[in-house]
Amino acid sequence: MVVTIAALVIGGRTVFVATQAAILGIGALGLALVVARVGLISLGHGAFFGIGAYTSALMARDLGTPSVLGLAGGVGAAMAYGAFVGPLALRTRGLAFVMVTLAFGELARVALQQSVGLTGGDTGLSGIPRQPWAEDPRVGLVVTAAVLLATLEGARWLMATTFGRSIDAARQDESKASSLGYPVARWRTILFVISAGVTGLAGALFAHHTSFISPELLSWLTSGELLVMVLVGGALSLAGAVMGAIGLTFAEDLVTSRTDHWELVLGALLMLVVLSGWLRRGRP
Amino acid sequence: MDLILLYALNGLSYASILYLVAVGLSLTYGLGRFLDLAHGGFYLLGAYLCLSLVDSVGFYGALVVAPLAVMVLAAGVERLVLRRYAGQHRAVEQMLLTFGLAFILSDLMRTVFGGRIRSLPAPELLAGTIDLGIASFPIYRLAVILVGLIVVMTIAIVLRRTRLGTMVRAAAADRSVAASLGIDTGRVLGTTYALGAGLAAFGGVIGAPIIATSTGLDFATLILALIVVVVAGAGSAGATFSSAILVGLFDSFGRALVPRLSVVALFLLLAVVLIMRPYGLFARRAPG
Repeated sequence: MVVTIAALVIGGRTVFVATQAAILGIGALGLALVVARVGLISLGHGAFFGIGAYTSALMARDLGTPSVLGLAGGVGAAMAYGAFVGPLALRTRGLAFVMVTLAFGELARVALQQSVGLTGGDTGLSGIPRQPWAEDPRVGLVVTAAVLLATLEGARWLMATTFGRSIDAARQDESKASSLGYPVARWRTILFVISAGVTGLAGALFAHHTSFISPELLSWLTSGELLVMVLVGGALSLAGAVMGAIGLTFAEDLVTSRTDHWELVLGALLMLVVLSGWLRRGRP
Repeated sequence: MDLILLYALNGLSYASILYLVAVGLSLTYGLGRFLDLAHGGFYLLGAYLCLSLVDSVGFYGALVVAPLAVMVLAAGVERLVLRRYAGQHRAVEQMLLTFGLAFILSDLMRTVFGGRIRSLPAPELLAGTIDLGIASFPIYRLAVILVGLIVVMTIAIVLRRTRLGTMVRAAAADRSVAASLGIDTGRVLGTTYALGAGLAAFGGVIGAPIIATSTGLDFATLILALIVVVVAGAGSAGATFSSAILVGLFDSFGRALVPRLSVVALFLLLAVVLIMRPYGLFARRAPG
């Protein structure tokens, strides 16, 4: 909220970056539902982000569907792929889960890259129309920030229900939670699909924000970027993931506009987050 | 027929390199659930050091110097930073630290060694091809297969017969029992980490004449090595070898038969194996 108001006051390019930060915040929030609540690290959420982006972009550009319908299509497509990947990936744990989600992410990327007729292949999609409310970028920012807040509140509400609490309990003790009679496995799958949908929503917003997308968006690099945001935010907190996304987006913009050593700065930042003990504040 | 033999031999030479990178990754993960995301960086650093050293000390000199240099670097980072964050409950911190290290290495390598793609001719003694009766094949690649086999056997002997190997196996089997018997598991993990980094760099050196060295090869190699590790089931050097052969062959035949979709072949293999056998193809039991 504070960031939004500050960006509105500064105006210009900051509005663009702030909108991007809010969009990535939604993406990281989606991933955090799996990482922070189920306790498994996914490296395939770039695919959900990209599927959301491509679906909404194609619907708006080639079919001329109203924007909200396009966003819903993006969310739906991402959830559909999540419903395919989730049950398979959730059979595994730990590093195997990381690698299965990575595999399905990369498979989606290659499939999309090869469907040249539909997606334009490696050249990507350009000329994606802006959202009608984003004609004035400042209004676009306010709307995006509102969507971010609504998603965050929705996720918090969801995790406070019996559904969310039992998934939380299962992260700490899986056999205990399922012995209490909760269908933990099925609920985890449902949460995975919701998570894919939230990240897909971010992707859909992203496509109209940048007006150009390419298959790289589905790659593990996007997944890795979202994951770093979640981890920097403490890995256990939904709001932390959002803060991580906002912080890193602004940091990246600040650094890349000055030097081409973003990787070096990012690496040093990641290590500093751990070494400074910032990550462990308030934990035993 | 002769084409199939060529693809198979190419796959096996690539498997040798993959094994060198994956074995350290697998052992440190098996020992302390410690996932080293900077491992691809150590591989690429080995390759770049080889390219820089080859004019002064020759390829065979680089084969010794580059892995040692990387080992010293890895040992230093492990001792100063990583060891303080050992333990399963600190997985997030370990991932952030090693991922951060990977980014720093990647950026520094791009700055120091430049962004262009560089290749290296096979070293003297091993240049040229050999006639295998039905096809001719580069001698250097056969030598790489041989080196891979020697390293596999050396590691098997070290793990079975030496004090360090026994401590590694004990710590991998049950860390708390091993610790209660007086084994400094932190040090065992540290030594394994440094040796594994050295082996990855060694793989980078012997890979330099085969695989063009460029920016981004570090993360690409890391992902392939991770595929080898999880297909094998982490923690076993022997299984890592079988798995490296499988992945190497899949990659080689994939590239030859479906060039545009070779990545798909590998990721399909990975997904199918893990869904059928969540703990890896060659693991006898679930990891603790």
